[in-house]
Amino acid sequence: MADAATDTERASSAHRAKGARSGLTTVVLGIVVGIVLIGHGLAQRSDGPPEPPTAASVFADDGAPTADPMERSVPTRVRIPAIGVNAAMMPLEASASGELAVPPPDKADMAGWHDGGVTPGQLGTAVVLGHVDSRDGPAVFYDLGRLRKGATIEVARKDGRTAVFTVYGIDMYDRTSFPSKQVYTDAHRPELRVITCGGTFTPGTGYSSNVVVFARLTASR
Amino acid sequence: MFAARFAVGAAAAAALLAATPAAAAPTPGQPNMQVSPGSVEPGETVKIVLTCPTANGIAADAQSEAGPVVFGPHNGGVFTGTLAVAASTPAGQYAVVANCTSSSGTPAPAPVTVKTTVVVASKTVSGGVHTGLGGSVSGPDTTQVAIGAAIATAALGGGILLLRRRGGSGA
Repeated sequence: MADAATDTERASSAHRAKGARSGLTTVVLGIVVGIVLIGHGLAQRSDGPPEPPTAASVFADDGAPTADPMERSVPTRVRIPAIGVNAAMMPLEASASGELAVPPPDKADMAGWHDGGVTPGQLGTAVVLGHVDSRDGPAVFYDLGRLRKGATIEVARKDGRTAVFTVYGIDMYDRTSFPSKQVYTDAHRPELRVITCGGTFTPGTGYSSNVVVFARLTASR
Repeated sequence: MFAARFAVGAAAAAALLAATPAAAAPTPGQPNMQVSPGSVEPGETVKIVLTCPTANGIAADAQSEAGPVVFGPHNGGVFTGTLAVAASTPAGQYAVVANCTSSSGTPAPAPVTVKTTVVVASKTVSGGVHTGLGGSVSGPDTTQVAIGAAIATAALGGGILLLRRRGGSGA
């Protein structure tokens, strides 16, 4: 009889210990899950796309030799290995006031080129642009601000040839004082500009600045 | 002495004057063509001055893929005309090929040809571009932070209760 009582007591004590242990496990698990959720939630904060180093110099023409100009042929793809870009391209027109159109929001993974201008590889200045982000997140040229002097930009063309450009400058300009002439005017050698947004994003008005990459033709194949 | 000096000076000046436009000066008997401006935007017009070797019954024509070329009547073998670059002309370099023909002489001399280039520049673009919709800029996920805080608080509360109960049963 006493034995039976002891057995019951022992069983109940074991049961209590087991309950306490599983309770503690739940508590620890709950705290861990909570902290992980808080951390992950805080990590969702993003200040925006990368920017080129400040106080970059003015890049008109670095005087370095270029490859021979190519014939006109429309571009089909742009590849920038340094930042993992490999994107299809669409033609873009300028409005009557001269502002370039951009790819539609649902094509933020595509780049565009100004078809009122020279094609990449031709004598003059070809202009390529793309979104830095869509409504949902980073887009085709999100990392453009990371590009540095010496990086390679390849443009595949409809004629089956590829124009190879070398970056000689990168800068960021406020949109209210954008140096249009310096960026867009045809150079006396085959050049390329790659443009996207940068600076501070304000809902309604968009980004405050544009990141502009300056490159010259260094090879064609 | 003065006359001699003057003559030398005048000769030097003449040589200088002659030397400056030498590259563009027409070679006697050879046609010459000048375009101005050398670079235009699509839809603009290029002025062409074509100098043909003088002869009787002279005529000129010119072709370019950039647009139609029209010459007026000549004045002493000099034709002035226009090249109207169509608004749809893609940017690039375009050749202009002109022919001077003469109907005098038997047989008539073969037409002489002269070539030059016009550049159709990129259409003017100005201002920055709107290439971002803001999706890569965001604050912290407040919902996730709130849920996390709620779970952690509940677990902590449960833990305190549990410890208290254990402490009570032990007493």
